[in-house]
Amino acid sequence: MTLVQFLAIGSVILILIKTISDFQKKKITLSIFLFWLSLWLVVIIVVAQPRITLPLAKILGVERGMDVTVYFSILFIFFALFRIVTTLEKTKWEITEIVRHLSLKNSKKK
Amino acid sequence: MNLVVIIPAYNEEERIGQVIRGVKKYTGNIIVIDDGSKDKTSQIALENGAKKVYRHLINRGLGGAFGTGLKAAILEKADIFVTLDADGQHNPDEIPQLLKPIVEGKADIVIGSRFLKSQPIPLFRRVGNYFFNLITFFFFGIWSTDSQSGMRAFNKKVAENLETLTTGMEVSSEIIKEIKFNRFKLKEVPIKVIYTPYSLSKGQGLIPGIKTLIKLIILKLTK
Repeated sequence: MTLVQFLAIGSVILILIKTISDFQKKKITLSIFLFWLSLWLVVIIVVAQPRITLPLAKILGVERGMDVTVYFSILFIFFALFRIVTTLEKTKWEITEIVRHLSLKNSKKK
Repeated sequence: MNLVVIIPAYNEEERIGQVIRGVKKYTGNIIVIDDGSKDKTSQIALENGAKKVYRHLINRGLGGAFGTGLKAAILEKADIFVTLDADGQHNPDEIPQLLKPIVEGKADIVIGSRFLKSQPIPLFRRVGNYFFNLITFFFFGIWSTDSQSGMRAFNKKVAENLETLTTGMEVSSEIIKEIKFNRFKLKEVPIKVIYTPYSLSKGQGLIPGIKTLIKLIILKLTK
């Protein structure tokens, strides 16, 4: 195993520990926990054995297995970003609804 | 005909009094939505004749204030609704011409357009507005010569069916989206805009403009 692989796996294990701890403290739901758990396990496997991505690379017409991993990672980051922004917008709207409700209950008259 | 004028305001203590005094010639039903101002906007609005002031505890943006104004005006049993800016850029004496197409049944919603008659408007504003007109048309399918105008009039049917979910400046484009979705009859009438260094400083600059654009993209993709 190269140094880069060792560092990457070490970092992912730390993130994994944090994810497990968040789940134990009930900060995240079971579905979210399972999603991150499976994602990080896949990352560990791909980093430890990059050759396993070769068949997928061949199917997709990409030369190197690592390239496929990078492409999918970028796609995932964009998707995650989009989800975060839309969730944030929804939360902002919910806050607005609360603020609106309070203001409609407490109007000031001349 | 019960006319209610809705004025969303954020830190507008300098101009709100003058705007309300101008509107009072046409109706006493003036509702101010104080969007979490840190100055005396609420107090000055009441002193100058606003019928009611609804105060947001925290600033929620133009869309948030517009939505509150709409609900408040419906509670007032309004038949016709007018919105205008609190920074003094709109002339309240143009309210009658805004109402005319609605009273005559020729429109459900009327937008006061700054670009239907020739008048001095800073180039940056002109280009920015045209850009948002294009984006609004491209995303929501209706061409408006002033999609970002804050001076509008609409009838009860529009007020009861308008469903705006955005909280910021992008609400103006969202209203256009709703016009298309609900098939409201839209008309535009020319209005004169009073640009002063004060009102120009209150408008949408480059960075808020980019934020509005991003929110419009999200609106297009998610709703």
